[in-house]
Amino acid sequence: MPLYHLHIRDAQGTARDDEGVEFADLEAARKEALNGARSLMAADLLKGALDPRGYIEIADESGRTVDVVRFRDSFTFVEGDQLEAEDSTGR
Amino acid sequence: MSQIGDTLAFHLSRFGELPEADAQAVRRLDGEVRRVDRHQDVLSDGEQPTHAVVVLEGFLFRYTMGRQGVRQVHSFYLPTEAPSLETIYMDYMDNSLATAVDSRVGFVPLERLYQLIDNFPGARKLLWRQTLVQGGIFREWLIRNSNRTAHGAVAHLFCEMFARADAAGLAEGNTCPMPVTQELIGQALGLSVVHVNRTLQLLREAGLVDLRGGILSILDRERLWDAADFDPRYLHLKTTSRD
Repeated sequence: MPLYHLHIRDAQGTARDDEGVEFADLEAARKEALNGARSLMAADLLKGALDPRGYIEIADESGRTVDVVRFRDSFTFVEGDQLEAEDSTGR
Repeated sequence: MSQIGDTLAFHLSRFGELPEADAQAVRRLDGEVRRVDRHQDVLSDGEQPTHAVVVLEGFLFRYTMGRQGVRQVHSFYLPTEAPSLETIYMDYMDNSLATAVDSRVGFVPLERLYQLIDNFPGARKLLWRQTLVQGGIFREWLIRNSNRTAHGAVAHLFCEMFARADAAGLAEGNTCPMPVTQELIGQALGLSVVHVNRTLQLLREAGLVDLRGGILSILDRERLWDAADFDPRYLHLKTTSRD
């Protein structure tokens, strides 16, 4: 299986992935980068902050960047006003 | 005397004193030594265990495969440790035991272990204690995965593995072998591989601990223990290094 490196760049700095991870294909690596971006933001959110400026760079075994997964593209943010209260009597 | 028996006697002596006659009986336990390549099952889910396993070289782990193909790793095993004592009276494996790297593994026929247990109360007591300690370790892994941040969980796992390596006589100064990938750590802690990488980098930059090339280096024991909120009582180790 091909080896891909998932390098992280976010507000905490850069974490190079020198070890790399074997994936079935680039699509599987992309899926894990997406999951990784969400997991980093989720951990930050538990501490009360959300910073979507980071990204994960996917590099192949030769070190060439083959894709970039942006934190802000990894989730849907629904804008708008507070939801109306539902009628609790069910009528 | 056999390498398997010697190793098991040494391992049991980490948990308490083995009377001389019992120690001799354990040392006489023999079996087959096999080389197992990395990423191979030693015991597979569903199979009937016929042998107890002793790690002689390498690194083993236990896992359960989820229906979604997600692997939950629930224990790591270092050389001298005996990963399968809790299955010696089980009819079938409900999880799997595998190698993380090329390993040498000793297999003791269960029949020989049953005879030891029936005839040597001192050995029986320590075998039982060893499996109860495994239960304690599983409890700690549950707490680690439920109630700690990634930072605390990774730090805690490293504290445990260093303490166990030290007891197994594998630590040299502030380093010990820990030949695991960031992927395997993620599967043990329920963290994404990206989150593990980020956490390792933060722990390294803070000067607490480093994992590189399969070697764990404890850079600042006191601050690492603090970050991990580590209390080694659950390991019930009577000794912390090879005599």
